[in-house]
Amino acid sequence: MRIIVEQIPNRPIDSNSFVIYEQGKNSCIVIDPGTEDCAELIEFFEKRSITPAYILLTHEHFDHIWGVNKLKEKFDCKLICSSVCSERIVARKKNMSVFYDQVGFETAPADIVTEDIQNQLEWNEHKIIFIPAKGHTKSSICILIDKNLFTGDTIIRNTKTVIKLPGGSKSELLESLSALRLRFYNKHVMIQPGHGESFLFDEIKDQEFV
Amino acid sequence: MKQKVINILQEIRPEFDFTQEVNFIDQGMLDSFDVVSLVSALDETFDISIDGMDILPENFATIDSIVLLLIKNGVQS
Repeated sequence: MRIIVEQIPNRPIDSNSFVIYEQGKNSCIVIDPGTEDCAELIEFFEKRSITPAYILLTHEHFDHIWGVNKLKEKFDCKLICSSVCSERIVARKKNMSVFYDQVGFETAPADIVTEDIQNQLEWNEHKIIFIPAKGHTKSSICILIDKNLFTGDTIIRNTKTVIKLPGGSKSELLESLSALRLRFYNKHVMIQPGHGESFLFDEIKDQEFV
Repeated sequence: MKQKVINILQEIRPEFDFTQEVNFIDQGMLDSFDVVSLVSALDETFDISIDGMDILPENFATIDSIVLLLIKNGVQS
């Protein structure tokens, strides 16, 4: 069955969260819930009678994880991210939240780290693939679900990828972009970025991001 | 301690001279991303944990303000 991808903006930082679901099925996936109270996400779930089974994170930054605690408290769902991401979301300096409001927040570590499941997950007869993509941070991954590539802050349209923050690296970013290009060029893959609008993978040029 | 701080700053933004007596923030020598790197480097180098409430631009604006912050965190001058 075909998946439906809904982009829901996070607040107050305008990052993107995504809900992936199928018509007529209860289980859904949430990527990068970055709003503390998750009000819009929860309303979305209720209207469609869907429940998150997994929360997936592209990287550790607070504007992509702020809603994790709320969703974990309200739903019986598993948190999945890379091992480095799992180590960093638990600390307010490492997840950067303290730099935003001087107080910050912490989350519990992941229930499952992507390396332990060989970077693959079966969900509703779909295969979800986690692709390591260092560069923005050491923890960064892209997430492939059917023809959708969720890139977090690794690829954002018309925006140079931020590599100045702890764990950022230009050479690792170039390596990641090159590997992604080899794998997805001319494959009609849609990029679902961590900020801004979705676009086709073939529209990008690596130099836009470095 | 002062020299260690200068070394850290120059590693973060090698294009600037941090021995100048100017306001690094006002002069655009440090931006908010740099402050993140600076706090991480100070924590690690001096084995401290700078409190979130002290993460204010004015505390990173000059060598003297950074040194004062380190002393507040128990670093011996």
